[in-house]
Amino acid sequence: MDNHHDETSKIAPNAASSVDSSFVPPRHWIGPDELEASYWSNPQVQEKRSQEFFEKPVEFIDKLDRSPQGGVARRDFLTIMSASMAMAGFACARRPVHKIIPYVVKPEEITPGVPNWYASTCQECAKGCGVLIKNREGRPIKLEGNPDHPVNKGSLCGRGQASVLGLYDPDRLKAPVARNRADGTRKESNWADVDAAIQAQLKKIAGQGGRVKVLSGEIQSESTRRLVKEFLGAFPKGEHIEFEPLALDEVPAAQALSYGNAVVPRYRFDQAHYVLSLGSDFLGNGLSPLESTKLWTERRKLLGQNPAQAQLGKLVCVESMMTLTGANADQRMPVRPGDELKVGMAVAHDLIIRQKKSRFAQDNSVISALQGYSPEVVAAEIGLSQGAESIRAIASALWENQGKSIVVAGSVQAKTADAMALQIVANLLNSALDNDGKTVDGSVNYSVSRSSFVALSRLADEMKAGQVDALIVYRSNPLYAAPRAALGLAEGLKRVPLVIVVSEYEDETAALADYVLPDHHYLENWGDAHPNQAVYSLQQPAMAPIHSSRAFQDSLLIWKKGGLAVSGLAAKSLDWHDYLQNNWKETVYREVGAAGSFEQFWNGTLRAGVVDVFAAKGISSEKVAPRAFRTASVANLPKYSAQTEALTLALYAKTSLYDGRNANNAWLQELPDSISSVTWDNYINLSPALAKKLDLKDDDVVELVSGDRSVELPLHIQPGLHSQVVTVAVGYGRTAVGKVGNHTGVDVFPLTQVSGAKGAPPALVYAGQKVSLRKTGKFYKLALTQWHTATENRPVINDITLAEYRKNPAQSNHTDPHLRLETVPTMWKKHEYKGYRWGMAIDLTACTGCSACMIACQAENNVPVVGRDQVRVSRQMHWIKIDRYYSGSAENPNVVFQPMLCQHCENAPCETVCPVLATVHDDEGLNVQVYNRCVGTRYCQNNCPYKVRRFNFFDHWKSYEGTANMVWNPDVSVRTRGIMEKCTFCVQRIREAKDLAKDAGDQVKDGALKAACQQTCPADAIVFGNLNDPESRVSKMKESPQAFRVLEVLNTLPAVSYMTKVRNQAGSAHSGHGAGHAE
Amino acid sequence: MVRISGTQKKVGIAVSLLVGLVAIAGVLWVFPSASNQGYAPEQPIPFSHKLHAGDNKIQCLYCHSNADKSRHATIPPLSVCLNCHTVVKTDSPYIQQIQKAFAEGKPIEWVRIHELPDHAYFPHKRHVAAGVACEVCHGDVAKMERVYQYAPLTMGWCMECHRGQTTPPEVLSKAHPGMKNPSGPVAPVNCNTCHN
Repeated sequence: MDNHHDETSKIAPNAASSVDSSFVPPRHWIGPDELEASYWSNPQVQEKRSQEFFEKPVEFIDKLDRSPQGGVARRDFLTIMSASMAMAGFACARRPVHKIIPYVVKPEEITPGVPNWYASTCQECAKGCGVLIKNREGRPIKLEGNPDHPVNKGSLCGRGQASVLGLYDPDRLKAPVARNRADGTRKESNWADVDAAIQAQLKKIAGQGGRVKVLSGEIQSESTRRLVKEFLGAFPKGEHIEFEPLALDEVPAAQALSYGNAVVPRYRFDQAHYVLSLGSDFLGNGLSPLESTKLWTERRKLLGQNPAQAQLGKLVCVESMMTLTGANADQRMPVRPGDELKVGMAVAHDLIIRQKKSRFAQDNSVISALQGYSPEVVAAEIGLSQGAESIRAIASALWENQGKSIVVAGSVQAKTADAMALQIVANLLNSALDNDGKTVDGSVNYSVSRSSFVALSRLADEMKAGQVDALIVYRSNPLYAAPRAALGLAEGLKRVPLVIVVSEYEDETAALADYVLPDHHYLENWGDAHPNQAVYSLQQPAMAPIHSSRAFQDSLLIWKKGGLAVSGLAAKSLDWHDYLQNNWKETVYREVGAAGSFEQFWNGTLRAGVVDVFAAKGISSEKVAPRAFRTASVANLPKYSAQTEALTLALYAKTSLYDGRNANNAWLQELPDSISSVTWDNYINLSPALAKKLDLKDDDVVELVSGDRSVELPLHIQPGLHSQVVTVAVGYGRTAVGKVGNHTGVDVFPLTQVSGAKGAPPALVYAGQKVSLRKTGKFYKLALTQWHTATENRPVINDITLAEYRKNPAQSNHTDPHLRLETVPTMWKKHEYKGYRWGMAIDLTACTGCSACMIACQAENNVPVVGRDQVRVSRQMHWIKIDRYYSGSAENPNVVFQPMLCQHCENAPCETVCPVLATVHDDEGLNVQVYNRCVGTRYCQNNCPYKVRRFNFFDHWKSYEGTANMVWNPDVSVRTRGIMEKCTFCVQRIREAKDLAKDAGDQVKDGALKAACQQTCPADAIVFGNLNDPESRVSKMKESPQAFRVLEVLNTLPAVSYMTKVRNQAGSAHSGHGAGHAE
Repeated sequence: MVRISGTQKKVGIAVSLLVGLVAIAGVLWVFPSASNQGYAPEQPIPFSHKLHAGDNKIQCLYCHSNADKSRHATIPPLSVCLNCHTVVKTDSPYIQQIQKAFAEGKPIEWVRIHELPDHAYFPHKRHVAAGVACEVCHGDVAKMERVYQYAPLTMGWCMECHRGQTTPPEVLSKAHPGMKNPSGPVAPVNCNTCHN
């Protein structure tokens, strides 16, 4: 950095008052290697970190390098040169003749070139988020959250954003398939033939016993559920089973035990000052992550508060895996799976028995249930670094925040055999703290979940006993995403005479079916959702079906015509759309009590996408009543016993791939994991200490043995794990989904178990299995992106504690005086901006690192997918990426996420080195990349200190085959090989906003224009707008003392400001997670 | 080793220069400019703009109805042709061709004349709103029996107008209201005005 020091530049005066001499900035690191003293003095490391790419594209050099001196062999060079000369000759041919094909009759609502927006409901998972579908010339090209929807309030997660690519997946099932299960032959069929055959068989079954089962995933749609019920009414023993592999069915079950009603409560994170997560990943893969993130981040905003008295919500997370929630926690306790329960019990023990607080202090049943779980015993068993004191501190802080705190528990990686007990201790704490009825609202059945593993295992038994005549599988894939071997599902299915699979893909279950019927994608179908008692959400098709698919609901209504005696609406409805309307007329329309005709109500709801029953009826959702806790439920809490010393497995789900249903979606496969930044694979996570003990390194292939099953997976060393924990993500290793997802990663669903405690209902267990590891000696390079943009160890983030922030909100981590130049001499003239000047501000305290912005950007800006091998040589194309940095110790580090994108510098280093002026500044402050001028020197990429420029080494767009080409945004150029690209601040959205403003004879109003990343952000961490308007939100953020610019000292004057990351910790941020105590 | 004299060297240089010049001239002769100016392809139906827009004075926006709403002016759907041609000149074989195509639901595939490269963004809407008459870029279509590309549609040609050099006076005065002799740029000339 010495060369930046200039005699003429002034050292920032930084008035003595603002310099805290006691301030020790946290040192951020990317991997645990950097914590070793020898790392930075290693000359290889120094060279590596100063070069353009962290990884050299070795395989290409290897292929060409045949001469002893290395480099390109002469013969190869001539071959390549002559080929390109020949190609150059062909390039200047006459321009091709293109056709213009107008409509025969233009649909009234379509204007070519102008998008239409339709409100609908996302069906990627069962949370019921509202979406607005952007349609161009009759095809969806982008999804955005519906701002008027009470669940997601305008935001959308990465999976929702990526579902538009799923619609155009060329590997979708295109026509009905009939299989002969005896000899395994498969034949493409048509609807008329399969309908006739199915109708005949169903009629026969209805007359003889009629044991027909419908197995589906969790169904959001009340109308579909009713239709299935009415359809099954034609069979004497019809039954509908819902099973969602990742559903937390212990939540409603434990609520029923503790409070009497099987509800999923509403957690009002916006009202909470203190949140204790006992293994709950509510920000990542929880009960409703978008809604929770929206609410929680409201408590994490410092702008507008007086810094000296600033308040932040505090999040404490006890977990076995490093999740998004843990990464965002102010204090984090890495534990083994199952220990979440013990910590919860110890907190209750301290509160109720030692401190004698709460109404349960005199309750003998509660006291006896908690016996044995004293903080000392639990802390010693887990090996908590701060000992029992850390548990006592939590108990005291919770009591101080009575009625203003939340204890939330449960997730896939906490689903041990004791998952139910974990829920009950959370319920006990919430009632003891009077949170129930204030921050925890059990009066609204929040998520209408009917998923039941008990029902699935009963079905498996019935199938094996030959007690099922027909099985219809709809949006469920039990032969992949379930403990299929433990339940014996494959042999069970073989004993069912008629198996029908209705699915978008010819999946693993379809291989054992008689008929595989293509279902509509949700963007092609009608439907509805009922995410909680207050909200009904409507789903409408945004395009005509691409393939010969048919809605499952329509199939039922067609099959009933084969002589099935169905009742109710199913008897009189013509088709699914008609059924849906009839059902809404009978139910929602009546419940809302809307004025006007049903026709008016329907059309209004269709336009809005959602109806809020509480709002319509004037019921306040603020009015919440506490429920009586049934102390009898504590009988379900286990007696204390120490875990055996052994490696413990926790299976988890990624926010991207979830349970693997989206495995064929290349956007999601290439989305770097928020924590590990690995793409395209799953892997074993181990703590650095355990890896050292077992002599394992990153990318070693390790055999993981659990009981009689074993899998081989590459290793990723993950800081912040308990030293006896091994974690692996489910959702990978599909075998029948398509080109992208097949054999990508390794399937670990076979490692799930069915807990078989006597008398208790069977439960699906994802965590707590004792496992062993064996080094195979093989090596597999994970395609991870975290090192690709490593800087030369310059501080790029301001990361301080709340205590430090209150002292000095402008506290900067740049303590090196050379990095605090206030005025830097410049040879460039400043640009003049007469109209708009676009800029962005990103709040690092609010950002949770969920990565939804990356997929939103990809969908909006035609960012291509490059594939695993290209990611390995650091050629991924994402315009915005989430950089993750650790600080503190490798055992329990602090985590900070930094969205990094083109900074649109005033003095842009890229602009000065481009020899062809392909990157220039425009008069609204944008740094413009001109694709048609770019010749691909890559000088700009080399000179960019932020490493945000992306080069097209290949024609990546060619990997989009067939229907996938329909996903391109027609307003953005699709880039070809040999040119540079990077974030444009969504210039096409800027233009659209200006166009609309000009039509109205006005300026673009603050908030009317949102970049794609900002639009989808559930944390509202990204703000974009006009810096020339002092009243705009972005200007206010830029001017706040909390704002800083990355590598400010380079005098690049970025248009992107970041807001200092502030942690609710008492001490100094550099000391890591364990250090902070409750504020 | 062969020795090369000074004269041989000079002749060699002269010959290679000549070959180079001839090559450049040849390329320029075959491809005079990047422009397709004057391109007048034959269309599947010899639709006469002279007859419709000239003799019968049908407004441009009657058929190209999105020119003021969208980036695309759009070729009219067949249903617009049949607004008149269900009664007008139904005996013409071309009209019968249109009616047949309409009945079968098969659109007519017209040959594209005005075509910008994919990396250039041109919105009709903003130009119409700025008061640029259709003829400025498309020529006097009302006199064209078969439409041809009137303007070069090159980047330089676009820029001259944006900078105010070749801008029609009515556009200039609209862009600079209140100026006595309106002059100066009328539209931005940032790269991303047209390229993104």
